[in-house]
Order: sequence, then C-alpha cells, then structure tokens
Amino acid sequence: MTDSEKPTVLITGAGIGIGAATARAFADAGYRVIVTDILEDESRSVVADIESGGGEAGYHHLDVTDTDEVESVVSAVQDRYGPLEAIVANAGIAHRVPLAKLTDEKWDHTHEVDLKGVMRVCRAAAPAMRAAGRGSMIAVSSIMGVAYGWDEHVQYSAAKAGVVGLVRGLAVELARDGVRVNGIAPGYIRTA
Amino acid sequence: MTPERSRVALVTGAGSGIGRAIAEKLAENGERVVVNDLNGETADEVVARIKGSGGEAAAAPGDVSDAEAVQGIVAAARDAYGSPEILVNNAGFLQQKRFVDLTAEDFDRMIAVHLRGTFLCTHAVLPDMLSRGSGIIVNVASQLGQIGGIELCHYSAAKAGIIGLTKSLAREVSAQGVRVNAVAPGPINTELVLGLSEEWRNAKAAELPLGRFGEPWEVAETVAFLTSDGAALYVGQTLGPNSGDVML
Repeated sequence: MTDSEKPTVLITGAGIGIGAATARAFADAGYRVIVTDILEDESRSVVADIESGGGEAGYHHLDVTDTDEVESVVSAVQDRYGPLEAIVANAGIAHRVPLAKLTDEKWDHTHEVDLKGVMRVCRAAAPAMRAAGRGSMIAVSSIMGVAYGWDEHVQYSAAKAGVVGLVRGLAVELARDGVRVNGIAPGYIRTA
Repeated sequence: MTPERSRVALVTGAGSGIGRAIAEKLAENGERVVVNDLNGETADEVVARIKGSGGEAAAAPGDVSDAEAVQGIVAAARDAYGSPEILVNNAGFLQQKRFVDLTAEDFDRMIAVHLRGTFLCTHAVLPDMLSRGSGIIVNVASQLGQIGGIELCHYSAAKAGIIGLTKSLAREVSAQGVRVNAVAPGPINTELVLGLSEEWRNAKAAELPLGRFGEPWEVAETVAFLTSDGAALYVGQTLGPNSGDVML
C-alpha cells in the first residue's frame, strides 16, 4: 500500500483507555492513525507504540470543547493526507456527581465534551467525506446511555443517550453521500 | 487457519440466500462448515461450491422444526467433523398474509421453523458446547422482529421470539463460555426478495438511508464477525445490517 493509498483515521481521546486501544487496532489494520487528546504525554506514548510496531501515527493536541481547535486540527490533517477515511469520536468524561450537587456548570461541561464534542468532530470531518463520497464516523456512547441509567452520573447518562440520537440523525443525513455513521455502546471496560 | 485448527460450524437453511452466504463466508474463514437445508439438493450444491473454492464442507439436510430430524442433522455434523462449535440458526421462510387471513396452521408453521427450529438446534448442540466451555451461537432474526411488518405478523412474532431467546440464553450461558447473539437483517437481495415486484423494491430502496438493499454477503460479514475473537464482548446483542432502515 502506498503512502497515498493508506487510509487515515482520526481518533479523539486516544491517549488512554478505549481511545488508545482503538488507535492501536486501527494501526494494526493498516491505517494511518491521528492520535488526538488533551493528554500529550500519554498520546505520544501511543504514537511511539504504534510506530515501534511498524505503523504510522501522529499526535495533535485536541480539546473537543474548542470548536476552533477541532476545525483547525481536522483541516490540517485533511490538507496533509486528504479526506479522512474514518473518525472515532471517543473523547469523553465521566464524573460521579450526586444530583444534589449537580450544578449547571457540571452538567454543561459533561455535555460539552461527551455530546457537543462528538458533534464538533463529526461536523468538521463531514464536508470532505461528503465530497469524497465515502467515510465512516463512529461515536462512542455507553451502555449507560442506551440500556441503563447510572446513579450519580445523570449528566453522563444523558449525554451518552444524546450521542445515540446524534448518531441516528447524522446517519440519515449523510447516508446518501456515502458517509456511514454508527455508534458503539461499551459496557464495563477496564480503563484508567 | 488450517483445517486441523478450524472450528466446526453448522449453518441451518444454508442452501440459498443469506444462509448460503454465511456458509461460504465461514468456509472462507477456514471453518469446517456443515450445510443444512430442507432441500438436500441445494445443500449439496453449496457443499460443492465450498469445496470447489478449497474449503471444507459437508451436507446435513433436514427439517429443523422436527426434533428427530434435528438429532439427525447434528449426528451428521458429528460424523463429518465433530460436534459443532459454531451454530448459525438461519433456517426460515417468508409468508406474506393479512392477519385476518392467517390460519392457525400458517402461524404454527412459521413459529415451528423459525423459533422452534432455533430452539431444537440450539438444544441439540449446547450440551457439548457447555462441556467444552466454549461455543458460539448466532441466531438470524430480522428487523421485522424489532419493528413489525404489515402482513407479516406471524413472521415478525417468530423473529421477535428469536431475539428474546437470544437475550435470555445469552444471560444463562455466557459465563460458561458460550456466546449467543443475533443479527437482524433489513431488506436483503435474496432470491425471494428479487422475485418481488420491481416497483416495490425501488420504492422500498428509496426509503432507506443507504438507498439500497443489502446483499447476502453483507449479512454474512456480520455473522462472521460475531464468530470472531473480536466479538468477545458481544453478549445477547442483536446487530442490524439493515441499510439504516432501523436504528436501535
């Protein structure tokens, strides 16, 4: 596979946990992996790991709550490698907050990352994917947003449920342009 | 995967359509496939195709709704390759009829082939899977079992029953190493569907987000995934290769 033929995937929150594992899996599958996260040391470790295994990867700092940064990172990656073959909107946070202590700010912050952050990345990647007539968007929801509630994590459950609705809406809107949108809802995963 | 290390996979209703595609895909993956169908001739044809492509296959014809016949099917699998390590319950048929016109016999036959057949085949292979501490069962349901379909009440009921059976059995045996999941295909270009009116097919395709029906091989890919190590965390799930017709 030539360099120009190698598909590129951008993964958010890829410095640790599910995101890091996903990055490694895509590298094993022959993708060029763009590891993005606010955690630079961990992300560079993932990149080094991929490269030592013979894969290709690069790191970009990416705070999914920052629209300008999301747009500029996606744009920079596309300028260098062409339209993304796939994005994995994985970045997320989960904090235990009893309802009595759930402030508007805490609710908003979780939604900024876990729901609006997903939207931002998908929105940024969509134009080039649509123009190319191909692409796959994968959003990471949670079993807590799909099948169960999680006490003292109301804001998280709501955001992850929101991701499901986002996936469905995007899927219908982008399907005829050749862009597939799906979600995964992991259960209990041993992460940091 | 060398034949010595490949798994024995029994696929019911594998003489045509989705079942044939599943059998061929699993054989391509290196599994030793036991091809069941009510129609022995089509089962033999699929076996011949698989062998012609370098795969391993044997036929085990029989009616999955008949308990005695199922014992014969599983015995044939054991004689050919050993006790099934993978079971794909795919056998089924479609009958479109208004509910008010359905006879009790129509209803019973639909349930017998789809749901009872799934039960009988699973019941026949499960003890060995449990003894071994490993096994994979994939039940082919339908999106109609999730959302219903006009003039398909009995079909939808049978397929919904398969989904319920999948979830319950998954809860019961997954800790013992047997993974149970289902696939719920959407509109797929099988011989049956291709026989329906072009007008209906075009109108239906226009409704789909993807704009087209699926192909049997695309369902087979999902089934094959569920038999892979990568699907280890999928327990009691119903995956939907359905062109976006249903989003659950």
